[in-house]
Amino acid sequence: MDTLVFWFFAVVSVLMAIGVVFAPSVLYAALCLLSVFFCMAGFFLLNNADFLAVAQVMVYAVGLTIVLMFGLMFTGNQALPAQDNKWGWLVKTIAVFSGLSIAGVLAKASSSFVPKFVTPMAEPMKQNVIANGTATQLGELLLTKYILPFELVSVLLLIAMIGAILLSKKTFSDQGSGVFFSFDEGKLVPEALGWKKDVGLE
Amino acid sequence: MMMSTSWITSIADILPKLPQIVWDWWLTLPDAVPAFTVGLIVFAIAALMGQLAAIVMVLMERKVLSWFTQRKGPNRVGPLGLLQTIADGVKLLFKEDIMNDAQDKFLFTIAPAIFLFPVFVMFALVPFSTSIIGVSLPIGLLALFALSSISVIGIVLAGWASNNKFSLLGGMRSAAQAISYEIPLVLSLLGVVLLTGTMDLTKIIEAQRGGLLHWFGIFLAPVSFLIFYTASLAEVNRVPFDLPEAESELVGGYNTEYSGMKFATFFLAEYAGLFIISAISAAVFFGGYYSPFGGLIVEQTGASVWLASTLGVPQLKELIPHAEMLLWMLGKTYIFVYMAMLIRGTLPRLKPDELMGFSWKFLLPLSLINVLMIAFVKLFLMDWAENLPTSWIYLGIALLIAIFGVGGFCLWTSRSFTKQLQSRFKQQA
Amino acid sequence: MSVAVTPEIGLSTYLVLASILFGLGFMGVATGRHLMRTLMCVELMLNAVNLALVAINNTVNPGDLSGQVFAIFVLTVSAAEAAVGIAIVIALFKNTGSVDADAFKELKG
Repeated sequence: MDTLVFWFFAVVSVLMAIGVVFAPSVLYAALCLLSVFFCMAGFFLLNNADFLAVAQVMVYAVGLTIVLMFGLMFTGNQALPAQDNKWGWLVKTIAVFSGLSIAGVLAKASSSFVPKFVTPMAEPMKQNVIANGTATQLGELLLTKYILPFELVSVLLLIAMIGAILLSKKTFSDQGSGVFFSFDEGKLVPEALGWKKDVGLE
Repeated sequence: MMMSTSWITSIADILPKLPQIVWDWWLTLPDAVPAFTVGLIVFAIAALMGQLAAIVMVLMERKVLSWFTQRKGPNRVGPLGLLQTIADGVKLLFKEDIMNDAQDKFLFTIAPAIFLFPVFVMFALVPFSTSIIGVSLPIGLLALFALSSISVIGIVLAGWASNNKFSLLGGMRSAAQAISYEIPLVLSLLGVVLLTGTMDLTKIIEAQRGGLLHWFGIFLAPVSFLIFYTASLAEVNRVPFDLPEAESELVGGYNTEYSGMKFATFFLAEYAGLFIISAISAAVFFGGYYSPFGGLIVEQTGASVWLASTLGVPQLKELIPHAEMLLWMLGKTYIFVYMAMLIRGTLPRLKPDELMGFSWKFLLPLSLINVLMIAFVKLFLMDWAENLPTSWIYLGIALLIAIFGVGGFCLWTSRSFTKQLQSRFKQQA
Repeated sequence: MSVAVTPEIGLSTYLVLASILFGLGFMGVATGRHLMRTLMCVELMLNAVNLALVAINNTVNPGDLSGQVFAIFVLTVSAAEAAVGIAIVIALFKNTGSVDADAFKELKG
């Protein structure tokens, strides 16, 4: 059962990861990424990480994909113009080869990997985790042993939030060319319709 | 003649053994097959329940809204108009499925499915009695909300694939709304999880077995319930928050371009989602499948035992309590469905900026204060019997913070809200 | 089911899968010109790391869930990274009207 499910998820996730890299439309790449995330949730379930699987679906598969699609809809899904770089093909080939070689080296190293230390009580521990779920133990670990990283991550999230808000504030659209969306309707709309500002809407 | 009779007798010989033969064959299969089959059966039952609930609720909504506006409502098809939904469904089935060339065909087709499937899976996670539940997970509550948020991807894709500016606006509104209201929704449930110490829905219901006073929605966490119900109405795009499909500004929102069965799919999934949200409200905050008087009535009065012994059917002793549980659960669920329909009849739609402001400026701080208060209560008041004097001091402090905190916060928001309104009217004048 | 597989799916199978995904993600980061696709590939790489962390945790010491805690941290940080990244891409798009990585040559120091 586990074997079958594993191979199903493995094949789907690798195919979809290739889709993420090479799909012609970026929206389709985002959809491929969505299915990779779901496969990851499946792997987490196979590895007795039920809380992490649900968190994966909530944060990655839904939150992140929606934010990505939001960004795509802001920037438009049009294809990029052809590259006029003379050495573009060379860069691309080198990149593909380096990616393949990274994958190859890592895979070769890990295919014969045997951990030096495996706890002798692994099987009963696994059964215990399956019976109780992981949520309780994760909560305890986060608030005792890993309390410092936990707090640091919360500070990081706050910084990221403030940064994202600052970056996407209105003032940027005022300075720029305002190609896609222009938010100040008061300026744009009357001029586009050929009205004088003095006449207005009175 | 002889041949046929012997054939029949041989069949008659085999027939009583057939269950045993099938069972033996079943046991020889590898373990993947039974697991998949059971999963498929659970999903099929859940989907069937979802469709039934949606069919009932569409009719109910039309009837309730017609009473609200002093009309008669559907009363032509079948007795009292009861078959109206089925007639509508058949009509939608036979309608032409329109697509044009500019649309992304694959995404346009798959979007309703992405919208519908998670809702059906959610039916398998909701307990209708101690044994009528598809899967009981230790993190069931969290899984429910992970599933419910998947639906939004369907809406965004539908808006994108339609190649229509109204659809796109509807889809983007839906994405923004879902992300904003997800946070107060989960934070409000965090209070209940803190109090019970588990995310298993059956255990949360078991904690409220004691009756009316033990329900979380009445005394222990009423603010949580209000936040949860408001945010969940936004999550399923019900009326005060139905901006993604606002028919008076966006034609039809994300489902403008849809027709026929695909449109029906969106319609079905929305109603099934409302049912799920109401069922979770009933289960988490209002005792689930237990009666308001504590436990079950048939068990407390001994009616099930008496009936089973007088009728001579011992199985009834088990069956009748489950029937009562189902009755309570469905009754409570439909009360919340009815409430959502009354809200639809009463309230006007919000503006987009008001919608986002309401979530980020009001619901989110309120739910944070609420979680803090519940943590305080849990830490200092739950073991009041052990150290009485200190806990009374803490109770006093908690009450003060509660009254001043929540009251001051509400006052502040209402003041800033009236200021906004005033400035808007001044600008117009 | 007659699926011709290796007898047992152990740690090394998961690690090989994770390294393949990581390599694909790297390839996407290196070749991709669309900034959004670059962001997606970074997420893919982080996911591969998460998979390795969880698999190792489940094999070596399943009683102590430290590996899953690390995975949660990776998840949080990558969510923050994606939020800031998309905000930057949108701001760049508003200023120049392009999402092509080659279009931002004036960013050279």
